[in-house]
Amino acid sequence: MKMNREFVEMIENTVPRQNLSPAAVERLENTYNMLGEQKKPVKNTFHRSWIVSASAVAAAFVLLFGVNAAFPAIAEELPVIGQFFQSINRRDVFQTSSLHGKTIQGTNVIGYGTQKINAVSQSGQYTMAVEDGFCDGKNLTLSMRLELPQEGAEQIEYILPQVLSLSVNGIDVRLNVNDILLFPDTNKGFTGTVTAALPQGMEPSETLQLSLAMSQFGGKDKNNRDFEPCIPLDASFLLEFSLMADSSYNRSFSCEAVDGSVTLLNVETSPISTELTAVMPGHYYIDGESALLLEDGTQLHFNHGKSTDITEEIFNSQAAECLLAFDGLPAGTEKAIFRQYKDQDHSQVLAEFTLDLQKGTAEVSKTYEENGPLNLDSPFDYRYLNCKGESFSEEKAVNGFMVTDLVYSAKEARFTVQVEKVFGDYREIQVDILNSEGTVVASDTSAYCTSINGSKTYWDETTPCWSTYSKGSDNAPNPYKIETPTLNYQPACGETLTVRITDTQTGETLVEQDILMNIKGH
Amino acid sequence: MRDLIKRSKKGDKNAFMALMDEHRQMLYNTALLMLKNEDDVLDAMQDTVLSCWENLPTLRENRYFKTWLTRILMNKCYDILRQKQWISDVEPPEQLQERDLDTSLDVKDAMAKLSVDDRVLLSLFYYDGLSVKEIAAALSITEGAVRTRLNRSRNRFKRSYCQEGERI
Repeated sequence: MKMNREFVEMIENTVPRQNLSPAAVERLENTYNMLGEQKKPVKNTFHRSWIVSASAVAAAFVLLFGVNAAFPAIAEELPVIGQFFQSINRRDVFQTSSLHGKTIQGTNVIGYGTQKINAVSQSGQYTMAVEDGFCDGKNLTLSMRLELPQEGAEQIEYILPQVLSLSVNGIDVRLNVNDILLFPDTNKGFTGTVTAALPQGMEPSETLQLSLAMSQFGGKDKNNRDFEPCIPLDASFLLEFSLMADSSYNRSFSCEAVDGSVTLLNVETSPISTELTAVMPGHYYIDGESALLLEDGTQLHFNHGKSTDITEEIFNSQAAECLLAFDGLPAGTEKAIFRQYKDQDHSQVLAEFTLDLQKGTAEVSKTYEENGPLNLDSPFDYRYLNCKGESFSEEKAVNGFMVTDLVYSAKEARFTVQVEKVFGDYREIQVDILNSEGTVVASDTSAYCTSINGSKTYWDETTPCWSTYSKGSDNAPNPYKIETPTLNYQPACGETLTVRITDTQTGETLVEQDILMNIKGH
Repeated sequence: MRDLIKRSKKGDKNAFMALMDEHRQMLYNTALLMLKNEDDVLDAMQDTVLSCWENLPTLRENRYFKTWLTRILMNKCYDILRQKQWISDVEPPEQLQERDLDTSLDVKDAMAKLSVDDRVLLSLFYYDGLSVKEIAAALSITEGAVRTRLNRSRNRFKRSYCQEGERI
């Protein structure tokens, strides 16, 4: 985009930068006079606070993980820790990681049968396990789990290793720091995945020897919104293991399907990645949106990093050859639809092709005009689905509670509920979201977290901006915000959902409120 | 700049002031795009500078300074915006945007019609030279999302610009 000089000039000419006003300069000078003490650099206090007998715990963990690797059924039956192994053995980390909006490739590999790895490394109080993996011969994806001592773990939003390297058969694979982000799972451990392209020229059928090194871990403090992970975790891991490549699911076919100014040349699919090669005017690619859809309307993630980069050459080309990389298709997918939208509001389809993965063909189609989930006006074609929202009023509140907002994010498969209650003491509540058939499609419990940000918050007089929010009132309502994921339900635009609020202490249903979800956001 | 950061981390106030002076245009204009109101902008800048000074020794990687500083500013601006939004029941956002600033060019309205986030993205990218990666880190979103939103902002801006042009 930077190459579009016309546009840059347009911005520069029409929205020139403003010089600092005299008042701004004066305030800055005054601010300099207010500089006081600086904070001391953060040391590894977090690590030190965890005083546990290291060697015994380490040995026990290694032994138990060994048992789990060899006899998972027995490990799952063990008292206390059995539940932990159950979660390791049965959880789909690949899919749930994507809910955090960070993992973008390999979310569908679980359907193809991943390979159990269970490589474990111990470092002080920390245990890292690479649990499952899949290699399609061109890419590999791994799921991993970091186990922390319990104390302090709840304050961490996510963890990332700031130094990491991966080698495959002795050849280094390019990874970025942000490629591994570990998020808390239900067991207070942290899980995540990493996906990487194999070095070129590697035989797809061979057994890969992998070496994954990670160190200098940082935890992002939930209560600190600074950029850097500020809770150091003094751990370093070296995990060495093998992974068998399986290219049996890979498909590839050439085609020359033409729809308007777009020509689809090639299709390559694997469990981890779908790559299309298409020729189109550069501005179609840059200004528009390339989309790969399943027949139920699900849109697969577009991988910007792997797709053709945006350059001046591409932008100015009338026939730019573009590599369009998407996530892998779910197992059993027979057809997929490639669309080139004119813009990211999906106002118009410039070209569309239906890919028949069984026959290896691509044909021009117009599913966007047909009735069903692929229609351009489909109730499922949105990124966000919102309700109108309502201001809190005591008259409308039931038992003092009222649902004031509900938003669904399609990408994150997550609802955000805002509930307000008359001013008073905190009450823990359970939020259930039900569809028109009465099925619970999402459910979660509130948390007493009075910070401004977070996935679950509750504002009261201890919240930093409370006085502004309450406008000086002594009885402003207390707002709860609860983000809750749903794995298997996408609401339709125009659908009425019911939000049920229950007091977790008494089990009393406080309010059941119907919410019309009818505002699309792209 | 790296030298200024190092010295600032060690408590050298003169170095810190020089460092802030290097970034004050970015701070001022980014805050202006987000907040519109000069008083709010000055509050955000002041809080950012103080917070930056106080927390600078905890920044472990100097190369992240620009991202880190931007992030602090964004957080301060979001705090102010969030407070305004809570009051928005009686004062719609559009009214808040009736600004104190002297905006002589009508076409500036085109920019004002973009969302706050989109305006900031464009500004950081085109004016302040932050890379897609740095913006992603500053805003806590993926690089892909930055690129998508840059594209979208660009399109919206073009549309707004054309509409303004037609009216003129």
